[in-house]
Amino acid sequence: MRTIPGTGSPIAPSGPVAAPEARVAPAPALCPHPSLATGWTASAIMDDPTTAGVLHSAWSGDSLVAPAPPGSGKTRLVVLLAASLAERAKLRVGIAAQTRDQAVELARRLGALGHPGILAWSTAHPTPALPAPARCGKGVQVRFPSSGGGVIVSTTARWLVSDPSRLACDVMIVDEAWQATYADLGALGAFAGQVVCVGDPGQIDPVVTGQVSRWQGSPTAPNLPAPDALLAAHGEAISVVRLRHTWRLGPQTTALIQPVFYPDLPFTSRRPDEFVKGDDGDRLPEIVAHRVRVAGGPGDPALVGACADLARGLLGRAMVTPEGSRSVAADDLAVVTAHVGQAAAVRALLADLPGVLVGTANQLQGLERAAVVALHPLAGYRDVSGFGTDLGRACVMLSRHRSHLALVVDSASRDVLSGSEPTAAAGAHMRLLEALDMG
Amino acid sequence: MRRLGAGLVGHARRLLVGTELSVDDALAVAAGEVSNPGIAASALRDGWAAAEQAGVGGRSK
Amino acid sequence: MSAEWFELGQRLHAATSGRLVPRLRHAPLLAGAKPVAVRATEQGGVVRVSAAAPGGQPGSGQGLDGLALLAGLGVSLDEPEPATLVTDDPGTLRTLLGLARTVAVGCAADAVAGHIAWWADRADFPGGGAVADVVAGCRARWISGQAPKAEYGAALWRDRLGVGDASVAGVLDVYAQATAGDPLRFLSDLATDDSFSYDMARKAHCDGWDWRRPDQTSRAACGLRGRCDAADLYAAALLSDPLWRARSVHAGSVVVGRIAVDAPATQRVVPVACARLDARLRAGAEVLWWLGAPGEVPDADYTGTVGAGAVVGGQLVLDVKTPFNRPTLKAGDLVTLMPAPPSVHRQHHGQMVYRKLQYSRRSWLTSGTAPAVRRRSVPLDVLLAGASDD
Repeated sequence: MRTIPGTGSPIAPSGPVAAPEARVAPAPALCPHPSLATGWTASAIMDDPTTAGVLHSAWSGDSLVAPAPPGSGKTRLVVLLAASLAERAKLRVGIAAQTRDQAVELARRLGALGHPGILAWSTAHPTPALPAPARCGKGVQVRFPSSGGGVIVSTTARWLVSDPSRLACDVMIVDEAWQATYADLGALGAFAGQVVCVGDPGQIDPVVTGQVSRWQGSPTAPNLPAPDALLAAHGEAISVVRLRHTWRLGPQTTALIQPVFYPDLPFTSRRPDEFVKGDDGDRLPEIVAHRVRVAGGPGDPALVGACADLARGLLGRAMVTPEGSRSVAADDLAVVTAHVGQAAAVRALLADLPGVLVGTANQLQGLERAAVVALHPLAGYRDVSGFGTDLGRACVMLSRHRSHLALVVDSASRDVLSGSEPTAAAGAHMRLLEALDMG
Repeated sequence: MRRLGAGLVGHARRLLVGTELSVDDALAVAAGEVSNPGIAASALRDGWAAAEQAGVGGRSK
Repeated sequence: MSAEWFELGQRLHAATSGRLVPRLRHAPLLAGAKPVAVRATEQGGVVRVSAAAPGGQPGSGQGLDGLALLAGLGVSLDEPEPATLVTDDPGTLRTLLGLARTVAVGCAADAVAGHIAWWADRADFPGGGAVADVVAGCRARWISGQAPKAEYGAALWRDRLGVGDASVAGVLDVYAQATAGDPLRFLSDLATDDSFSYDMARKAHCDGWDWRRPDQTSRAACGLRGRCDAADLYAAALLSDPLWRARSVHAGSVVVGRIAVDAPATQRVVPVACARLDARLRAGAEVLWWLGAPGEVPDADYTGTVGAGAVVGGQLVLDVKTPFNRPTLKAGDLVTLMPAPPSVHRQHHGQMVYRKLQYSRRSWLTSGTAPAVRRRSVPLDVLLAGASDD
C-alpha cells in the first residue's frame, strides 16, 4: 500500500456552516482553463503538502482512500480536488454524496469557489439555490461538457439509477465514504475506473436494513464501510492519505475522542483558541456533562427539556474566537440527539429560535457549530441496545462543536452499562463516561 | 408479586428504573387499578389494554 | 419511545392471565407447501440429522445418511419445488451447512447439499418461505408471561401451545400453530422471491456452479440489495397488522392525530395535529393514512407526503400533502399515518438496474481483479507541492 504521510503547515479551514468563511479565489466570469500553475479556482489545494499530495496521487491515476478526523477539512478537500482535476487535468469528475443536504453543500461550495459544477437533482424535490456558476440539472440536462473537464455532484442513490454510458467519469470521488457500503462502491465503479474515498472512519456506519449473516466475518462484506472493504480487497493497489489535524475540535475534545474512536488515526488539534465564557467570566471547559434524573425513558421530557434549557443558557454568553469576542447567537448553536422523536421534541421547545440547528446524529454528520448541546445516546435506556451503544453515533455527537459541548447524560447510564453484557462498545461508553467524570 | 416469575420481575425492574414505579405498582397501573399520569404508566396501560382487546392464544397455565 | 413499557404491559397481562398474548393478528410466517422439520447436531465431528415431514414418521441419520434422509423428504435441487426448512434449533442450519460442505461437487448428494446451501442463503430473508425459525416466529406472534430471554427456548413455546411431542415431529405442530390463520400482507411477495431464487439456484446447479466458492463482490452486493429490500418489505408487512400498529404508536413510527382544520377534497395540503411530539415521520416521507385509529382496519386508505412540521401551542402539526381522491375532512377527525409500504415492482426494477451496474464490465471493483491504473503525467508544480519524504 502506498502512503503519503500528512505533513506540513496548518491551513485554515473553510469555516463553520453557520458562518462560512471559505478562502476562495475570486470567481471568474467564465469557466477557467488556466495554463499557469496558480491560476485556477481551486489552487488553494496546493497550499498544504497533504492536500497537494492527494491531488498528485489522484491526478497520476491512483485510487485512494483519505481517512480524516472530524473538522479536518474533508469537504473542502473534496471540492478543491474535484475542481482541480476538472480544470487543470481536464478530467470528468463525479462526486457521490451520501445525503441530499451533503450534495447541496458540495455544489454550493463549488459555486462559491467559482467552479461551474452541476448538481444532479430530482424533480421531486424543491430546487436548491446555488451560487453561480454552479447550477442544478435534471434528467438528461445533466451531462459533462463535450470537451475538457467538469464536475457533476449527486447522491450515491441518484448515481445508482443513472446511466453510466451517459455519465461516465474519469474519477469518482466518494464523499463521507465510510457511510457508503462496499456494495454501493462497486456499483459506482461502473461510472469510473478510478475512485477516491474521503471520509471519517469514526462515525456512523452505513445504514443497512437487511440481515448479513452470510458474510459475517468477511473483511470484504458488502455491508461494510466502502473504504475498509476496498483496502481489504485491493490494499496493495490503493493509496492512503491520512489527514492528521482537526481545525474544529479543541485539545480537550481531541484528547477525549481520539483514543476511543480513532485508535488507528492519530490526530491533533490545530484549532485556534476559542471558548465560551461562564457566568463568572471564566472560560467554560470544552465539554461539560450535565446529569439528569430520567423517569420516562428516552422520550422523557426531562431530557429534551434539559437540552432546550442548556441551549437557551448558552445564548448570549460571551464567546472568544480568533476574530474577537462576541455573543453566542442562535445560529452558533446546535442540539444533537440520537432519535428523530427527541429532535422533534427539542425543535418544538426551541420553536422561537429557528436559527438553532436541531437534528439527530445521522442528520448532523458533516456539520458543525460553535456551541453544541448533545443528548447522550444511552439517556433513558434501561436495556443497552445496539443502537444506543453504537460508537459512531456517539462520535458524531461528541464532535460537532468548536468551543463548547454541553452533554446531557442520564444519571443512571453508568449503572445500566455496568449491569449489561460486556461488549467492546459498552466498555468504550463506560470509559467515556468515566473520562467525563460522572462518578 | 402476583404470579410473576423471577425472570419477569427482574426484567420489569430494569425497565422501570427511574420511573418511581415498583413492579407491583406497574401491575396495578397496567390493570387500571390505580391511576398514574406518567409516560411509563400510560404505555403500560396501553399495552395491557391491547392485550385484553387482542384476546388470548395458547392454553391456560 | 415508550414501546418497551407497552410490551411490558402486554407481558404482565400474559403473566397474570396465564395465556399467551397475541402481538400480531396475522401469522408472521407463511405456511409452506413442503415443510420439513430438521434438527442437526454435531458431536465429535459426526453430524446427526433428525427430520420429519407432515404425515410421515420422523427419521434420523448420520453424515451422508442424514443427507439421504433429507433427500427422501424432498430436500434436493433435483426437485421442482423447494422444501421449507422448519427448525426450533438455532444451530441446525449452520451444522447442516457444515455437512453440506463436505460433499464433493458432482457426487450423488450434491443436489441435497445445494438445497441446504440455498436454505443458508435464504435464511437472511424474512417471511419464512425458505427457512422458518419457529421459535422466532412464535416470539413474533405472541408474548408470554415470562422474561424475553426465556422466549428464546423452544420448550416454553411447546408448553404454551400444548405440544407434548418434544421430538422433531413436534416442531411441525408448533409450526402449524405459528402459521395458522391469515398471513401478514406481503409474505406472499416474499415467498415469490424465494421461489424465483430457488429456480436460479437449480439452474446454477445444472450449470455446474459451485456454491462453495466465496461470493464475488458483485454477487454479494446484489445479495445485500435483495436482503435490504426484503427487510423493508417485512417491516411494512408488520405495520400492516393492526396489533403491531398499536405498539408502533409508542415507537413513533405510526402517528395518530386529528385534522386541524376543515379540508375539502380540493385542498391538497392538510394540517394534522399529532398526539405525540416524538413522531418519526420526516419531511418528504411517503405515508399511508386513513380516518380512524391505528388498531382499526380502514375501509379506505390514502397516500400522502409529509411536508413541513411545526409546533403550535406545544403540539406537533404536520402538513400532509394528500391526493385528490380523498373525502372531505373535518376538523377533529381522527387520523392515523404510517410509512407507505415499498412498491414491490419498484424494488424489482431497482434490483435489475443495480445488477446491471454491478456486472458492468467497466468496474474493476466488482470484477475481483486488481485495478488497471491509467497513469497520467502530473505537472511539476503539483508533483513538488505534494512530494512526500519517503
